[in-house]
Amino acid sequence: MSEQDLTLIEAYVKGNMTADEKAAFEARLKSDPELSSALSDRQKMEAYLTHRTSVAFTLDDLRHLNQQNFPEDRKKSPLIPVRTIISIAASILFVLAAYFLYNTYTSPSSPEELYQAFAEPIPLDLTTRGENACADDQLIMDLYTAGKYSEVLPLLQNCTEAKPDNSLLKMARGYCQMELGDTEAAGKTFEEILEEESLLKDEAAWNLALTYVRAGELERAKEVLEEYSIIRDGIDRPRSKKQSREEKLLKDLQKLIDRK
Amino acid sequence: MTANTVMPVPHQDHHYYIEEGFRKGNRHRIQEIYDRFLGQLKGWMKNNQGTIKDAEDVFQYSMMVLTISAGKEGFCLNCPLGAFLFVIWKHHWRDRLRGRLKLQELQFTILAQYEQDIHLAEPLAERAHSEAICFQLLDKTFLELSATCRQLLELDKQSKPVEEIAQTLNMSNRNTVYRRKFACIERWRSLIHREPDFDHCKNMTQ
Repeated sequence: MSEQDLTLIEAYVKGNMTADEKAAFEARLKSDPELSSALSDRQKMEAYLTHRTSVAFTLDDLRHLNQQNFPEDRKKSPLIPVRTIISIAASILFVLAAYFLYNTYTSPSSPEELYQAFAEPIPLDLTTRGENACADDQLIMDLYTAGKYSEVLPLLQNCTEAKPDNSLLKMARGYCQMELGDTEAAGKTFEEILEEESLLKDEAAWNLALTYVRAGELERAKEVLEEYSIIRDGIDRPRSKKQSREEKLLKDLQKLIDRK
Repeated sequence: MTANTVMPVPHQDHHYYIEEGFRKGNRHRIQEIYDRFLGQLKGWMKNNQGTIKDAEDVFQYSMMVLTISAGKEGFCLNCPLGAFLFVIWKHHWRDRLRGRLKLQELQFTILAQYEQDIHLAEPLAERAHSEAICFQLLDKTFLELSATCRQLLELDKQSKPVEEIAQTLNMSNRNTVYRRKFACIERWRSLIHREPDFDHCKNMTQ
């Protein structure tokens, strides 16, 4: 669903359309089943949110009341002999210990280690468009490829100021900032790309998540991955390489969060 | 409104439980529902092939349906609450037994005190029962969203200014708020579509 259509749906659901806009939107709904289905889903969500935010007694309150009225500690007579229970428990403990040891040695044990396992430089080729992005294109590419991020960053900064529409340069700038540990600046750079109509949005989201990993904000990293992955890959498309790497990072992130 | 439209007349339980209990949040009134009706259900279940544990599960389900219905603006309880609950119990218990028993065995006794109100309670409870399936699905998937998404959608629903939302959620500007909101909605939508019960929701009007 395009951002433009999402904006229209929001305006319709919230009643922020003029009579003409509303009529035009309703006419389009008749011939656009995808838009119509998205609107119907959004209306259901809105009804749910109305309930959640305006009713004094919500489902969350009900869950609490149920817990009070039906405590989980009902005593049940064991149907399995105690010895069998002990053997099963011992086996489970053994498997858990093996799993823990396996995880300890096969997955990153700190945010920095996780970051290092996933961060990859964004390929920077400024020569394919047939026009110079900046005066010192070649120098920028050489320094960047050689991993001399502190040297190339000021050049990239100048260049992105001169060419504010070039997302690739911004991506490279963000990557340098992230590698140099300036997570705040890197986060802003990637957010900036996400706000543009850029083909590099996917990469910006991925690197924004990695920036949060490096900053130790694991929950936020997880949120960014979850929120962008679905939009990018669509609901029904086959799994891509990008999805696999996201799933792997999400899994490792969860392990780190659980260990905290 | 046309001359033929008949507005349902609220039963006295509507004011006592729905208005005062659910809509104004008087938890004592809601606790009273447990105290008054759970025993009835346990007795009925014993006579209809259920256990105490089954009764507790069915009761929790009926409370969920009631909570959802009470939150809907147009909901009007036009029969005693007990009759409404009884119809929900009956439907839910029948659904749960359906896989286990033959159709002819699914004949339930009716609690005598509700017999004369069943005709009023049936349509109301049937509608509430199917709406609850959809609502439950929305609730489950909403809770699967990230904490930021949940907070963002709730603040937006409360019509908080975008600047305030950005500040509360530590987002850089208005654009980020809009972008994240759309991302959250799309993610929620994808979660809803993955649910096997989603078909129940398709034709549901809100």
